[in-house]
Amino acid sequence: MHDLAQQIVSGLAQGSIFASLALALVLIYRAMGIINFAQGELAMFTTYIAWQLTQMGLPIWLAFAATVVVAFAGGVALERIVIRPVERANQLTIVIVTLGLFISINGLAGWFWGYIVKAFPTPFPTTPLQIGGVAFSAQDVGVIVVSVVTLGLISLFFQKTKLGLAMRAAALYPEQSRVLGIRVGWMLALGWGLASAVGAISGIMIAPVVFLDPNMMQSVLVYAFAAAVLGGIESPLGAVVGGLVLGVVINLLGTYVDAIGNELRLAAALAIIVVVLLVRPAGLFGRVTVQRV
Amino acid sequence: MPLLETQALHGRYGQIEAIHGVDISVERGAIVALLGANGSGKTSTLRAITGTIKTEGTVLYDGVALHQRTPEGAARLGIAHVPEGRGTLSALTVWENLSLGAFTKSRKHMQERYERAVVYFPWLEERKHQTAGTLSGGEQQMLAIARALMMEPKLMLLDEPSLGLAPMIVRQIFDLLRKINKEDGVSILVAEQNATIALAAADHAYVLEAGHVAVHGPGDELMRDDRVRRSYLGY
Ligand SMILES: Nc1ncnc2c1ncn2[C@@H]1O[C@H](COP(=O)(O)OP(=O)(O)O)[C@@H](O)[C@H]1O
Ligand SMILES: [Mg+2]
Repeated sequence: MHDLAQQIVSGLAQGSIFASLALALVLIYRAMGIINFAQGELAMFTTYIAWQLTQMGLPIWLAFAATVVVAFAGGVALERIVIRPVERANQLTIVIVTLGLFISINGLAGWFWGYIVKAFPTPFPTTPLQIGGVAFSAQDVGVIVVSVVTLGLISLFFQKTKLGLAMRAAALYPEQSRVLGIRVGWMLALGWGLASAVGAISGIMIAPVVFLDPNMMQSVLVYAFAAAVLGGIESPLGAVVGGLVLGVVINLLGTYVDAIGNELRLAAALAIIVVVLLVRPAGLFGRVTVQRV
Repeated sequence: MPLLETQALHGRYGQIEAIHGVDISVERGAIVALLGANGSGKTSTLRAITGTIKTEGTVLYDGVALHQRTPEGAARLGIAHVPEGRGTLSALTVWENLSLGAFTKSRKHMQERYERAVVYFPWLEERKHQTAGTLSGGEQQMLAIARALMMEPKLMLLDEPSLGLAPMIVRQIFDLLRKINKEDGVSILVAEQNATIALAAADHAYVLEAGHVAVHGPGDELMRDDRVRRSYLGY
């Protein structure tokens, strides 16, 4: 029983990292109708920035906060400089640009920091937490708390603020929004900023576990994509639930089903993508919108 | 000085030019109708004014030439464009639609605008949390006008507000437009195929044919014009 509880919490911790990156994917997908393949590499790059800041003597939490700000600004700048020129091109063009970004950012990180795996300091205590007589890893619990707070803040931002509402409108109805005075181009840039900030958080949360190297986010991106598809690629809530479910399922399968183990987890994630797309193309939370003309 | 004046306004979709030098003006406080058959260039004229399509020519607004016209820029200057098809943000609620109309305003100002809009459309209050896409066509048209009011406009551009609506609803909508024009001092440029109702409300009207102004004059004069009567009024 204790073991099961630990495995579930551990799965939730991993799942909340998938959820964060999945949310980043969904934010861009809703605004542009494409998957940003560079999302994971952006998260990796910003995690290196956090590492660099800790090397320069900044406490980890300060480095964390500074990195989130830098990631936000970087995401905005990237949209304005790289994506904006192709904003009106067809979606395949934009996808190819994000693939180009994937390769460039990966190469840039290798060039700056090398390919040798680096340890990343954990922002959480290393002693286990005792909850109800069960020892949980403080890292796991900390990751869950940080992710829940992040996702909660983002949800509040979109539901309760005028800017968040305008971003939703600009993503769904660009033409109509412009007529209302909303600068749709800037809303898109803010979306890239937010996505990249959330991605940075996922990178920093997972780096103490998987260690830092330029390819660290690649499998996470696949899990995040699986989570987004599972939840419904247009649904932020779906991305979060999809991430958590996937994290727990993958972790339990890997632990209790010997045939899967560690090696086949990624394959299991891919199998989940395929099955969901077959059974429910819109995903668990994807919905048909009601519209009268 | 008119509130809005276009001089030799052209508008194009890619290589296709839709309007070929349209001159119209809207006096301050006036209701002006833009008439014409389907495809004559009414929508394109409105879109050219706000810069939604590629344009050449001059648009003077409040005496100032609008260079580099963009829809968001026009909105910020007080031009509320109620587009063809009403521009309903259908997955959002009625309240969200309205508050986006006042996107550029402070929260306090937004509340004031809302109270003003509810004077004309009291039913909005109890339908605030309804998804806008589930409203009837007439309600969506009214929501679009209410949202335009939220923008505190000096000028409203309406694109076929009567489209697809029952005659009684159309009359109701034009009565409200007249009221908004008189009581809020909003000047109105309304594109319509329904010439009868539009001419009855308009101080001045332009008739477009194939992207040109064919005839224009005071509303009552056009109503007596043989050509207009035959082509657009059907008697
Ligand atoms: N999106 C578009 N692409 C190409 N041509 C268009 C487009 N919209 C309108 N047109 C053309 O522009 C002309 C004027 O159309 P429009 O302004 O929509 O007229 P109206 O609103 O009076 O029905 C028509 O010849 C129409 O075919
Ligand atoms: Mg039209």
